[in-house]
Amino acid sequence: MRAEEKWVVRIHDDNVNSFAGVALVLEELLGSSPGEGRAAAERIHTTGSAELDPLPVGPAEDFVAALQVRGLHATLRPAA
Amino acid sequence: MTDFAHVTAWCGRIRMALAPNTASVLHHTLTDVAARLAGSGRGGIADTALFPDAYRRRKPSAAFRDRHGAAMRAEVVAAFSRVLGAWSGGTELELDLAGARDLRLVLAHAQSAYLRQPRWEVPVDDLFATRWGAERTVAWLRELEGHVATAALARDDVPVFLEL
Repeated sequence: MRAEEKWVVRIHDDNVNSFAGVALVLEELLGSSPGEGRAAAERIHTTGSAELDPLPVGPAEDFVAALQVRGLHATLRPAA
Repeated sequence: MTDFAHVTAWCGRIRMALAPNTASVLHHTLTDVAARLAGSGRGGIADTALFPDAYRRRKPSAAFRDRHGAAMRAEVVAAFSRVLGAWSGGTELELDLAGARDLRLVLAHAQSAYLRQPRWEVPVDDLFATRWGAERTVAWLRELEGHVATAALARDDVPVFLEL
């Protein structure tokens, strides 16, 4: 894992978090509005996942950790 | 005995009114899970049951847990402590947005203590595959998580009322 490599944070759909719960977490961590959070949660449910813009490994891991602490299923994949 | 939970949101505050039995059982449940997260009480809860693998491969996922796992668990434990520190099991709670976020987090993670598989792997047709016959507990945790989150997203002056 190289420091300059970029990583994509992926938030996965699951069967246990409510739409509102996902929206509330996204609102908190991304600074989105409640409506934008709900729309993002709907996209995750409809498409199975949503991806954020690529980040260096440190910030990407920190963001995945923050999402997982809040109960979401978040993972990392290398940016293409 | 009738169980109920009423969740009301108005002007940035969230109020919960619980039946006495609902409050008692919920408080006992969260206290039990908090003890298990802290490593005491009946059976601890492993990091692998709380947090999914961060990477596709096992080795970098284990390294991720080495780097972040302790701090992540500490954050979850701290949220349980804040919730239980502010609520002693009474039938009424009043929360600000930060308190509601803590309670939602706690209600989400508490499910892990009662499910036979990690929360993120539970299939849609097996949502209540629980340990120790805890289907009702998981159902209440899940429904309350959604209600608290819905109330916390309501920021307008129009009151929101949700009932379980």
